[in-house]
Amino acid sequence: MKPILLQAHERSLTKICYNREGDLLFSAGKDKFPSVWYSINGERLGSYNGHNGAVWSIDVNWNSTAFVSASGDSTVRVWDVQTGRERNLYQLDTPCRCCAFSYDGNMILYTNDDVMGKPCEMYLTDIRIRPNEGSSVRINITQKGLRKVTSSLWGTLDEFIVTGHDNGELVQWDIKAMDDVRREKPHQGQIIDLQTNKDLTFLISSSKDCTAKLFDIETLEHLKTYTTERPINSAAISPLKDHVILGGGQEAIEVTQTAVRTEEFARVKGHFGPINTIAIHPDGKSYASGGEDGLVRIHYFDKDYLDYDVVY
Amino acid sequence: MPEQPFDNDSTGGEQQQQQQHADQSNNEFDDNSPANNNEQSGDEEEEEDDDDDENQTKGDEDEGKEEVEPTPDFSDEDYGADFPDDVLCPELMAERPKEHESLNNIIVVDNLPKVDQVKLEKLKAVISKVYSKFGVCRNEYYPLDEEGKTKGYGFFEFQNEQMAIEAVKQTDGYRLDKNHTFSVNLMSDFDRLTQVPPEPIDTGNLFSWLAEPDAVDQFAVQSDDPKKTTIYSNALSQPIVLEDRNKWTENNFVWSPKGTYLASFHEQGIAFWGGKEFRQVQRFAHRGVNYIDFSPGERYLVTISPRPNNPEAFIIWDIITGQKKRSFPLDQHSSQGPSYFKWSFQDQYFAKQGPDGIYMYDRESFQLVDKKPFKIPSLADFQWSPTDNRLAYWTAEDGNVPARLVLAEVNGVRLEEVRSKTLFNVIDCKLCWQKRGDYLVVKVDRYTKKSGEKNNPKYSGLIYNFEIFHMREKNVPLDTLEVKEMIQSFAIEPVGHKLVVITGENLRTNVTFYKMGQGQKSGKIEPLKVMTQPVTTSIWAPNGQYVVLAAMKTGQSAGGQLIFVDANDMSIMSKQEHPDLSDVEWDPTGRYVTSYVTLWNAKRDHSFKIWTFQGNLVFEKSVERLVAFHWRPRPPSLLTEDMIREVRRNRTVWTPKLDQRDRILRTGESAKQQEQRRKQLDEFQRLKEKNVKRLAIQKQQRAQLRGGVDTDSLFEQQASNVGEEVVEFLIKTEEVEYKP
Repeated sequence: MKPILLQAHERSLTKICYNREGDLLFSAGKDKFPSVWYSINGERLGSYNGHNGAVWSIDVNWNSTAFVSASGDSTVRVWDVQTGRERNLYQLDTPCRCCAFSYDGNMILYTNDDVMGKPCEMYLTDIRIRPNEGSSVRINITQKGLRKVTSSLWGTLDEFIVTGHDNGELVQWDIKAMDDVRREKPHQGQIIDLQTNKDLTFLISSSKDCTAKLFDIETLEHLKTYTTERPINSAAISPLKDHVILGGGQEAIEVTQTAVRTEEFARVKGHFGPINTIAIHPDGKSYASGGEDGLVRIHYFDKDYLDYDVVY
Repeated sequence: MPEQPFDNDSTGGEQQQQQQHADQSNNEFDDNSPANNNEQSGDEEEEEDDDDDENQTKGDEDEGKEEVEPTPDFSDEDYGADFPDDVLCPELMAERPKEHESLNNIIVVDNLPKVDQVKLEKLKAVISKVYSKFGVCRNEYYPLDEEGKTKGYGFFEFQNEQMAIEAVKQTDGYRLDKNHTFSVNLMSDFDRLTQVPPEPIDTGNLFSWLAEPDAVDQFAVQSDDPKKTTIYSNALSQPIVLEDRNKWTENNFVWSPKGTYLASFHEQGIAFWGGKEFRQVQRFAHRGVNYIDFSPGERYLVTISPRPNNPEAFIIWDIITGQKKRSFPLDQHSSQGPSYFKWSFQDQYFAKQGPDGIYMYDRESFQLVDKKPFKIPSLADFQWSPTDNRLAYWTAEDGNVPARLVLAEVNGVRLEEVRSKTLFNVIDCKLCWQKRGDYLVVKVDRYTKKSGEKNNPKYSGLIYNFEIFHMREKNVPLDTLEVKEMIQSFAIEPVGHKLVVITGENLRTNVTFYKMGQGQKSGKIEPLKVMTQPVTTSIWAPNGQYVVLAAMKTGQSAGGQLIFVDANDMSIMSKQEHPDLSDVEWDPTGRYVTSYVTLWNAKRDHSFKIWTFQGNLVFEKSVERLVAFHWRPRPPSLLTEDMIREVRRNRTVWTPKLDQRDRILRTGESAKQQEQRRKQLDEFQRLKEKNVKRLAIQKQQRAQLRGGVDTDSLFEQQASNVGEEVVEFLIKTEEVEYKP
């Protein structure tokens, strides 16, 4: 099946994600306007207009009511998914890098970069409280002796947070104690992306050091390493099979590998330039990739793939 | 050897009995052979009853005799040893009563009608009439049950053994009426018959070899010195030895037509081997058996022991039960060979060529159909269709009566002519059915001049032609194909419409491909291509399309050329060589071809080579003194035409998977690697299970976080609850701008 091309972003993609049901696909790029699409046919529903800089990260809550975006314009904004109305705005001092919704959809976490002599900090905020009112939790990452946070996500039952850092470190934070409980350094290069599997038990990290690694999300126990010959910008775990999809490269390349072993068994080309972000549809039958070329491509797995079983 | 197919006990017993028979017919001597007499004459002097004991304990006499019976007698032993009784007084000894003798006089008749007392006399009268012609019936006895009815069998004592034997011979299988066919035995045989109950051996699953996941075929190879039979599995990487036994068979081995059994030959009979470990599953005692033949459905076995004057030269057995169904004596009218009896396609009938026609028997009663042969004067040969109850035969020229070629159909008890053709000046016909039964091709050799004496005619000006019956078309149209040159050999595509004819002499041969027309074109035989290739035989793949042209070793040349042809476009895929070639055999699936050189053909370099259907060498092995190579046949596919078509249609789906599997098998990806993978998989699976448990525990907490909504089983819910969802897509785009 021919992939569906979504052409709306004028500049390269930074992050795409599906909502829980998988009917909507959200995309963000360096062009200030995060967009939402019908994943089934690639029709654009609309965009969330307001940012004044590249949007580095986005996320949607579990019931698809709220949408969060973190931008280089030093703001994090929460939007109403349906109307596109901006609900909250969080103004920070430096460009914002990461944002993510908690499992219950009430909290967001976001981080900013350590530039202009400012430290890298991580914030946790309840979106039901008005931004000017309430102190969210604020952790000074730089003070902890860690490098800039480049990716982040919520752990099981909103009890902890995992962050990936510029230098390849992976840190687990306990929310109650507001302190780091585990520090690992699995990668030699920047951790560009962190994703979980559907039931939040595994975690996959993608790094500039040309590897992606699979971890147990609670213990951060390293399970598998997927090695390629190119930097990996994004990796996703299939909800249907024991497979992972890696995307990245200096060139147009996507790689599919099995989660159990670490063998590549398929390779999909198409993007012009590297792939910056990858997301698998929650039903596992299609996936989307966003590239440096400003395009989002939705690929449907063919029947061969769905019937495919590696013979042992 | 895990088992002896024929243990020594039984052979011993048989020999013993034979010995007895020999002695009895030779009435000058008494029961003991002269050799025995010399040793034991001392005992015999004492009492004559001893003889009876001896009969029973003959088996262990060698060990025990001397100790068990001390001989405290005072006769002149040395003297007696030299002169046994029967030498001293032969007349007396000959008349001495013997117990076995009286037993041998009694016959047991089974399958008598069961009657009550009233009718008993009448029955007795009828039966006596049957048996009176063999001699005087000294005694008769009909056992009765509690109600006074006969039990359906009776005992009859004759005056002497000859009468009894004759009575058994002639009335066994005698049909009294529709429901009662006698089963007659000698009383003395009863012990023997009842002593060997057919022991039920657990043979396991005889079809286990078919369940091999990669459908790998097997083949068996036999070498003569040392006598060794080896069964291989033709695995993709290279053939693997499954079983290797010395002296498995005394001369040859044969696979059954569906491949279920491997038959081995022994002096005492035939043994069948099968199942996973090739254990013995059945045996058929038939002394001096030389050939065997199977019915095509693998239900019956014919063993042939062509010794002169053998009353049981042919025995037909039920393979499953091991029961002897019927035996036939040797007759002079037919050539000896494995296919003396020809079986119809579903084992329903078997027929032989008799002096005056076709003798056809049915498998229910093993009796002649309609109790008489089909009279066909000067019948020369006949062949059954492999797929219908039809047979083709031809009758030779007889004086002024020309030869005839007839296609006939079995209809109840009659043989009805479907199609026939009269042919003149015929020397010989060769009947050849296509495997699917679509065509009957008859090669006819004719002459233009005949000279010489009547019994030894000389023919000259030979011409050849083919008569081709189109079996699947209305009225069975008949084509004639003239061939100018001498026909060396020909072969019909087993599944398809092509005919390969090799003409010419020695190795100056032409190979011509013909297409037999179908439907509208029926009646047209087009030559497709002529190749000038030095070959003698063409061998089609079991499913057609591919054919191997081979030059077997003949007197003049070593031959050995192998030409692999794709008959779709008549292209030569490859040319190979195997000098001194004896034969070529396709595997039952048509994936591989084997060429081999046997002991009979060459002094040295006995070997077999396995080629792909395209002619790429896969495997080669030299086997010192190779005598036989045979692929294990497979039963016909259970897939219907539609299913096969379906598989063909989905070939693109299957090919990559099978290719991948092949790649793994071919590279011989080591078991270790696979093991490692499996371990990895198991580990990962355990991890996932652990996670599933963890998730189950946290389920409530998760639901709590999302306001009591269970979001775990999103897609399962959708599948069951939601039937259809209408999705509306906006055609107009609308920009919503939020102005605070």
